[in-house]
Amino acid sequence: MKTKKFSALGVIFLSIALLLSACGGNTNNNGGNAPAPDNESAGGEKINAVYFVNSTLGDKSFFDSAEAGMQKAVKELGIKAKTVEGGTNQADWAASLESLVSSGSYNVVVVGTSQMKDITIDLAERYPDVKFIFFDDVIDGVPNIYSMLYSQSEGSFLVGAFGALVTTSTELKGANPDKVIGFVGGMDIPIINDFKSGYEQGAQYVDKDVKVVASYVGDFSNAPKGKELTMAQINSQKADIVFNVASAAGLGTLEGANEKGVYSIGVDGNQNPLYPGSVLTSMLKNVDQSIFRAFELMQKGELKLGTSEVLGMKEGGVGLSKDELYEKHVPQAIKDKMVEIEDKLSKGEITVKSSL
Amino acid sequence: MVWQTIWGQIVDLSLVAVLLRLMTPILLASLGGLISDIGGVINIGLEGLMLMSAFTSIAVGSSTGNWAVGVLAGVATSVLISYGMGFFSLKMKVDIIITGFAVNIFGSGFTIFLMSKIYGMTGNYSPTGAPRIPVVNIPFIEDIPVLGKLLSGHSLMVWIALLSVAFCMFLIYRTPYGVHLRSVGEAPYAAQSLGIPAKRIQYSALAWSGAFAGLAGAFMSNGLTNMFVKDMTAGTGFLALAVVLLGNRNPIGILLGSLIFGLASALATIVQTVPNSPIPSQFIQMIPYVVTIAALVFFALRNKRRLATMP
Repeated sequence: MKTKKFSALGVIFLSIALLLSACGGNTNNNGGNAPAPDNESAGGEKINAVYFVNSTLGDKSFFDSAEAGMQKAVKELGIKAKTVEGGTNQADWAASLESLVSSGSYNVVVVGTSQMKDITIDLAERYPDVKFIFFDDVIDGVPNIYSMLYSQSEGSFLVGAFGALVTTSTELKGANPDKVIGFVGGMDIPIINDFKSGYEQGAQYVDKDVKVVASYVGDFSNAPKGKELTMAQINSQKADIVFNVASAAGLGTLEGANEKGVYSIGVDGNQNPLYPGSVLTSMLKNVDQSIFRAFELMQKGELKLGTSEVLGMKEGGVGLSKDELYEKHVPQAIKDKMVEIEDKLSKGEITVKSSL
Repeated sequence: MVWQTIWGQIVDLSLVAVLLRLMTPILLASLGGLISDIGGVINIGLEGLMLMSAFTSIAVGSSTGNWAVGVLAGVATSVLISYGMGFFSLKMKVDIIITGFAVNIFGSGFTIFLMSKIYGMTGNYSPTGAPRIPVVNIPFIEDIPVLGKLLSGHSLMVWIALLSVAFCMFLIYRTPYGVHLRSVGEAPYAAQSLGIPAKRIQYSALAWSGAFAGLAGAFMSNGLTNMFVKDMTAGTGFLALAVVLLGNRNPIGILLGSLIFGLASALATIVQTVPNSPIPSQFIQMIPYVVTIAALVFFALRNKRRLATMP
């Protein structure tokens, strides 16, 4: 009985599918050079994407930003998309992602962060028909993976220049005459030092005399220590603006700067509203825009699968967060100068060296 | 350059302020560890207790607008979980070490769970304008140049921690309860045969450790910072256990141990901020631990020599 029903359903679906494909063929033939419908990629198949979150949504930063990009692509590009949360147990991720891929319901998989790199490469090699869009790390040479990395050195260059403008500013009350700006990193590791290198280059670009003092928390969660290091930079080195690159521990940095009446720069997401007037701007990784861009390119058939791209200022991969608080608290002279520097970065007139 | 900076900080006494801030959570947590250790039920769940208390105190503190209520709620939560530990280890006979581990894992996961359920955030919770443990400015003394900076302007919790040392001295060595506690820790069955309620004493020892760990946790989220960040204790509870041994299982020793560790941490903080320092940051971050190990070796050698010279 049951099997009969199923086979009947199967027949119906098959005939519908046949009919539809026939229709599609017809319109194309009749219309001659009619544009392909929106939701078809160049390969002729519909994009049916799944975004695998290797954590949970609600971080107000990275993963939520990617989700926003997916939603935007659904709305504006007409793709089909689903989001699956993998939870915080790292051991489950590989199995969950594989069950998504092997189900055959999706032809595009969006996944990110370096923790997922090996899992993704393994799956991509075993399921060559599925396309992967991978963000926040580099995967080269796998023919069905497109990966993108955000140029933290260019983003940090921007905020470094911003910091140098703030510390030399005479309009800002919290800025002192000492040309010292601070940097609080999570750990002394290559990615974090890439931020630092860009930050230093940006500061030097504005003023050769600006000194950068850098401290490392040693992990990404010890907020009290992040705060203590920031206070030490402010008290003993007279830093008047501090760049937080320590994730959750960096929240202590923002709080310390706020308490001391000086300034700070947020990271990854827009942290300006945390301490209005003290967090002057944040360095953004525009995950949402980059994912939207990848889908857009895929529809046009221009996505270079098998390669990786570093998204800088030009591609909109990184940038400053300019919300109403930025408008309100940052002096006009600095804003103008930042627009100029952004412009030069996107045109390639300034090149930032990455330390990676 | 490095020495100049450090010397400058010593002269203007801001090193003392940093030292006291860094020392307080370790001191409080290790006093808690001490009492449980003396009672023979070493509480290695300090880290988890601190996290639970840190979360509860900031959550309750910010919703009631009163820091004292927040701190009390944090301590109460921590004590309650300690009683739970007692139930499992003393009544259900689960190994105390395993119970402690369970509390650590539970504390880390459950605080994130609560944070996401109550506030919809998974990484951190930083309420704006939450009340915090007040700073004690002593009138008259605060105007005296050196003494003012030395004694005034510290968080109330710093004083509570220092008073707790005296309190523990009194509790352990000057009260009948303390004598019972020590005897239960040395030989529970012998104590029981003399009519000392060993189980009840051990329950209370765990409760004390919960109370002190609770104070330490509340200070981290409500005094040092004004936020809760997942896993924000970052190993302080385990350091506290090391300080219990470093302090030779007595309150004064623990105060000294915490001071040594706090001083090393404060120095590391200052040294790190020196621009273009030639010393790799990893080495600087090692300082507190290296100093602690060195102190441990020093005390161990001294003890050994003292034992050797005894008749």
